[in-house]
Amino acid sequence: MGSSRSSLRRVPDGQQLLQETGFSAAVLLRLHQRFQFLDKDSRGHLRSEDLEAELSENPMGDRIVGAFFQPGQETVDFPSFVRVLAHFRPTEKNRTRGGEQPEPANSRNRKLKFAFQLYDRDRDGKISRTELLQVLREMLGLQVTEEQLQSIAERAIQEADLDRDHAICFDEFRKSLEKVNIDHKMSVRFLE
Amino acid sequence: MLLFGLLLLLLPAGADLSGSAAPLRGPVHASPSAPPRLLLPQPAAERGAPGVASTRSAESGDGQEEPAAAEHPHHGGGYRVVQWEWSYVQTPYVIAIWLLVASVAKILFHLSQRFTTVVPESCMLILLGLVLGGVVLLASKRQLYQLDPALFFLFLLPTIVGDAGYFMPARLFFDNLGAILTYAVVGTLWNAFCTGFCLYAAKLLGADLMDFLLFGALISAVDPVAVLAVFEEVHVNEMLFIIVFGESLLNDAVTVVLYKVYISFVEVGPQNVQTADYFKGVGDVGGTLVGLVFAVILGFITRFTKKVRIIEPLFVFLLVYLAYLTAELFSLMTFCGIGANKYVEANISQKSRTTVKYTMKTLASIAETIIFIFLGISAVDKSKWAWDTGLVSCTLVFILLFRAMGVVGQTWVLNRFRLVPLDKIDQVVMSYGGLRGAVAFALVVLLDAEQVRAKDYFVATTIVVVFFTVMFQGLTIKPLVKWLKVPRSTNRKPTINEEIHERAFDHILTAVEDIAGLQGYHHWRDKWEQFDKNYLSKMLLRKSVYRKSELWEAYQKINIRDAISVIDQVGGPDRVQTGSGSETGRSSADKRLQNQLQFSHQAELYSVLVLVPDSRPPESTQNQNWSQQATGLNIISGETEEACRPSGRSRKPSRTRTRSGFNLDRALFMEQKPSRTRTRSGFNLDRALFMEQKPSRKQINGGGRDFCNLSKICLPRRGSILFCSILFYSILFYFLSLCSFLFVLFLNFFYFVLFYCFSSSLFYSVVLSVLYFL
Repeated sequence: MGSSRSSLRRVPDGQQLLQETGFSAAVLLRLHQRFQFLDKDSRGHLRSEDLEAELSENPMGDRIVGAFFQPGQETVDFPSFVRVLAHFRPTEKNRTRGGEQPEPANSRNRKLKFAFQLYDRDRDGKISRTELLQVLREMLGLQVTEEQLQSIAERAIQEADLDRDHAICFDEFRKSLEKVNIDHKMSVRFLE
Repeated sequence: MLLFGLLLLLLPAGADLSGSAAPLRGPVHASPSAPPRLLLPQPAAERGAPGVASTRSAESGDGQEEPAAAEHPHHGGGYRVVQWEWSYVQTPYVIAIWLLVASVAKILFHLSQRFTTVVPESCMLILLGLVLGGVVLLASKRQLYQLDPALFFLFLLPTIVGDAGYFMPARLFFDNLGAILTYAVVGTLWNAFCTGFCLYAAKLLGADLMDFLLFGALISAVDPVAVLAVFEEVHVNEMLFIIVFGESLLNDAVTVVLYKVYISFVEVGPQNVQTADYFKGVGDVGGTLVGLVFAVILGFITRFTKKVRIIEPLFVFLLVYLAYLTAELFSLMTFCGIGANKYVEANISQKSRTTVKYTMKTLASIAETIIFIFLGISAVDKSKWAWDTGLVSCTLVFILLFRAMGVVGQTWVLNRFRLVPLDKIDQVVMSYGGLRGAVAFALVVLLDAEQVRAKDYFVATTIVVVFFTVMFQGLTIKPLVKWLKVPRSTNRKPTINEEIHERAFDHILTAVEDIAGLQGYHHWRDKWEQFDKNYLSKMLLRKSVYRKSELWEAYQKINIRDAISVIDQVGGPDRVQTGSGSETGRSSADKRLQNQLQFSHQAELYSVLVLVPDSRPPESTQNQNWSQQATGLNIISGETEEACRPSGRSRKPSRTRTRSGFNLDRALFMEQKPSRTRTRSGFNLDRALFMEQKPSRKQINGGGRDFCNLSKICLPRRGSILFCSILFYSILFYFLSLCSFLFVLFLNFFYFVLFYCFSSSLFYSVVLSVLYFL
């Protein structure tokens, strides 16, 4: 196993990504292999169909796929692929970093921000009632009636909405989840 | 009150002694023509007595005169109106008295608040047992009662294990299953072998290696009763609790198997040990499988119990108990009741649920109390044990030492695979929380004194160890936890946002794992959920229940809970709108929520408490959206639930959504008094029912409301491989032990030890390197 720096050269922006995302070289290599596997025509970038093909029926599937692509873009290259996945790295505890360093991708704040953007599709910085309803509909779909969905959405907004604008902004979102252990709930163990 | 209690406590001794004295009068009063019957021993009655195992011989014989004498008044002398039928009622009477004593003891303890916060209940019960034992000893010069192993294993332990298993939050348990299994299997084996070997090496007592290995096996098991009793009061965070408690439940299998293997070895002699016995080592997994099979059966049966609601709880108890007994049949130890909760709770009625919960907790509480009292009593019987200072002190030192070493070693390995590493504080709590208890004692008493000549020494040592762990460690663990600032369990109420987002995160992580090509924890969990939804739930759940959604249930729960708290604050449905209660301890978020809820959710809240659908909602809500009210009524129809059930997520049977169905179900829930429900008093009655949901037994504090909203701990990404490797490792370990034992036959013990060390270290290194390089 170990780190094979030589093969890292094959990875585009390898060194920079190592530093930026905090993945180990082995994980990065593996993700690169995965990228190449998904990129069936060896084009060097992925389209949404490649990603969607991997997902089994998942209510949040298309949102996740959408999160990989920058607005307006149709392809994602390897650095962007890795940067998105870096959000899901487990947080390290007690890491002291210099004040000037940018916040790591897998910090609690960034994770929450990522999740927030999944809900907030129109990117206006707020989760409106309709957006929340959409999420609920996707998750619960056939199991509950429309009125029930409305009740749940209404209640959720009421609980979280502090400034009475009937939408949830990022701070309210973060506050409503302050007791949840985001480090666990939004982390995936990548291969070491 | 205190005096009365003390008198009551002395009752059993008195009852028994007087009871034995009474029959002697019988024949005198009865017809003198009847010849005094000779004392016939009645072994059946004794062994059948599930309450108390008494070692009386002469006294019980006395009792036999009474039935003979009792018949005589009819034909002999005069007819007696009131007779002393002691022996007829003796057994159940004494049992009932003991249960009463145990319960009154609990009441007495809780009289002093300060005392109970410092001293755990188990300590006090043991002390009480010591006192009672002393009293009985003084009174009759001989120990009359002691903890009978058959009684313990057949009646007392299943109640506790069944209660724990049934209310075990499955999600949290399976999340941490890797850690739990590791500690249970590997940790116990490590403890057992090391303790046994080191005790032998210390050259104490001159007993055999086998004897010491046997002793090491039975003293090394962490005891579920003791852990439960102590940790309940300490309130550590759920993950820590579930790991220690799960370990204590699962390691019994390992202990019992080791014990039986060594017993047969000692008894039967090396030549006759069957190789099949060694394979029982996989009993841990097998036992739980038995439990799961019965859980499926139970779920299936409760699917059809709609017409026979009144005996639903009986099914639950019977099948959980049968699961336990079946496992005992195969000499396995099962985690009975696990997995059943989800399906059974969905199928049975609300009242049955309540019945099951309270009965199980009551029984478990009583069983625990009895166990501790009898531990105390049995300790006082000097004839049963022999003291050896060296053995006792060495054992104490070794068990603490090896537990700590084992925990540290295993945690180091586990942390390489876990998402949530267990830090040093967790490890300290885990090693300190390895309490020994009644299981060890029961096993040591079961030893045959002929085969194991050092039995008396072992009994004494076990008693000391158990006392030490329960009392000393139990007393000090609370301050230790405080001092180390262990993260405590948070008693937080679930909010709908958390529920929504946690579910969303589940899906998100599954998607991420799929994209990144990782077959991780979420992947398998998702697969399991699909399987469950498509096959298992279809088979085990009632059709009407099957289609409910968990998020909706959670939402209902939250609504109802808030309804209750709003009403609680403002004291009545007519004053809902003026509610601005300032209960102490309410967070500002709650107050804000109250205010918000007042105005927009009144209709819905009120409809929860509106007891019949045709009563008029208050005028203040006339400006509300009527469709919302209608929705509220429809939605809440029949959904009756205690606020924040302590047993985690559960489904409720869905009632018909029509108004008539609503009425009927509310009536059912509200104690069949639909007329009363219209009045305020009726409302209060129902609210009392709601609020009464805190079970009397101290909730498994992990099993308490903390599990309402489980924090998900992700298993390692390599969950399945870890599993396989651990399973493989344990199987191979048993093979190695098998070879070692065979070696013993032919070679010296020295070679045996060498071989064992060599092979285990070789295997450790091979396994670890394989895992590392994978």
